[in-house]
Amino acid sequence: MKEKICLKLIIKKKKENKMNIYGWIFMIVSWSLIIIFTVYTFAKILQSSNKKSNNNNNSNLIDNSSKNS
Amino acid sequence: MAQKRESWGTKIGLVLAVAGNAVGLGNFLRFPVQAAQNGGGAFMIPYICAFILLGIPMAWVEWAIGRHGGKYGHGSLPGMLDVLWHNKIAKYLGVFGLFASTVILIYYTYVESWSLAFSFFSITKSYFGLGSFNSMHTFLTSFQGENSQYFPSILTAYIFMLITFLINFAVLRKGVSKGIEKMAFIAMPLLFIFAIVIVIRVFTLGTPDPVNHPDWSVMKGLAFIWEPRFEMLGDAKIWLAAAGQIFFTLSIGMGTLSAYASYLKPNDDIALGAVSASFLNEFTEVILGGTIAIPVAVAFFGLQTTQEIAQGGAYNLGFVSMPIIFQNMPLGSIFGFLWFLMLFLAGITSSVAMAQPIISFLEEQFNFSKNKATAIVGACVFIGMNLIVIFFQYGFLDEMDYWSGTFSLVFVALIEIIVFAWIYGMDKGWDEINRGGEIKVPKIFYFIIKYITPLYLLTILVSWIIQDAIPIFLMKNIPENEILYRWLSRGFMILIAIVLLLMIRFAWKRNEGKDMFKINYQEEKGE
Repeated sequence: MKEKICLKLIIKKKKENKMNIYGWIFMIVSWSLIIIFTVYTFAKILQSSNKKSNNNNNSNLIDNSSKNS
Repeated sequence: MAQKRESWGTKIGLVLAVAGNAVGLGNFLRFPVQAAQNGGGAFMIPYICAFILLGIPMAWVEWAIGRHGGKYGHGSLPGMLDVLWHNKIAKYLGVFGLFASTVILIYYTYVESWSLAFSFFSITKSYFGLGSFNSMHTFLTSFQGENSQYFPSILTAYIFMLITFLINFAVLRKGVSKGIEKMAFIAMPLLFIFAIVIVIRVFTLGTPDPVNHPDWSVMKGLAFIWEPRFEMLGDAKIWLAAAGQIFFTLSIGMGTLSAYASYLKPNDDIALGAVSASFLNEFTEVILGGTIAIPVAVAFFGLQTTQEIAQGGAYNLGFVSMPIIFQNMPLGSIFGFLWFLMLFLAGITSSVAMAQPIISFLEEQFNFSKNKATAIVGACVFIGMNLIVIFFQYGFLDEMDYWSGTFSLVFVALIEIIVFAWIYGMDKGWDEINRGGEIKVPKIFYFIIKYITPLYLLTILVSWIIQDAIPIFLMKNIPENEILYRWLSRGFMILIAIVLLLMIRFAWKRNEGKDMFKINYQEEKGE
């Protein structure tokens, strides 16, 4: 009997130590949205920076070739 | 003669610098304290709402004001508001932006120096052995000069303050691209690495004392922050606290975002840049900041004590409780060193941003060289910091923190959004936000910026005036011995405001009729 009560108490304590399902959902959704937006916006900025530097390189090449000709 | 303005070296550099400006001590200390004081999970729902309705729209508005002002050679709010609203009063309204950033810079640099000092104390284990809250609190106050139990004088704090001050102004002297941007490239990745290492350590702590305190665990701390308590959402105080936190965390209303954006070219993107910097800040605050201080405090002190610690404020959590935790952790001196160095990096990327508006103002309105402007600002800040160090224990800093670091921010933001959305005009403003944009801002934000954000700001301002500003102004619940020094602090702030107002007046009289800013704009556009 005593063992059963102890076991119930341990299970209760362990449950208390855990986050409930709403907490998990809320945390995972918030974290996911923040991570997705951070990565997406950063990737877009990197992409646009690369594009710009490529464009600059191309225009420099055109300038040089026109000067040479 | 027209001066060629500096510009950012790279887009990533700008975003890192803006995120560095936003990521500060508040991300790791103020946010967890606010969450704990306002019901944990209940706080996160209004916080997310405030981020969408207040944070992101204000970031776009400040970036747009900044880039628009930059076209005319203005890197500070007086000039930026003047070109948006051709009215005599506009430039004087901009004084609040200069005032807030300058005053915050003065005391923030001092607080930032504590982090540097405590990182040194951690690696040298200076506070190890002080396991109780009382002894650790005495250690902190002794360091701040309130008693001589652990430090015979204020000298140690003063030395760290000097080092911090010198690092800040060495970066600022190098300018936007070679100083601030380069520092952001180094400091921000380091900050993230340190934070991630600490987060991993926190997650692996589990339940530090399973025998005596089986319910003191990291998971319980996370549950406290994330389990939504819908029944508490009816409490207006929580909504106000969440809106306030969004303000501080994104550095809105300081004039720093617009100062940084003023160094963009007229057709550079701002729509994506503002969102990117804001989300990077949220990543640092919610994911990293929210996972360190509160969960680890719950694991070591239990939920009830953690709530009591949070009631004691951010400094109590960061500089009293965290050192006790590090003492009880394997390799605690190293983790303590990383934690406080991370706070220092977060602080310095913000403080250099706070100096930028006033330095730009001196450079552009008075034609001062970068060195001269930085030296003048440095000298003034140094005098102010000395006053704070001397009168710290009498509430000198607290008084400055409320009027410049809390009240002014909402006031400046309200001025900015009214001038931008209602006086300059939302149609022109919308074009300004979207010009050169790498993303298209959803149309719904047109209405949010025009109606919802100003109303939100007005509600916060009125509530703060009723709840806090009047009792604080009347010095209710202030100890007798502090009243004189708090008035001294107010006098000092009024002096700063008057000097700034006179400088604006003098600058505009001096530059009357000069079309140097127009020339700059035409050069940029290639006209």
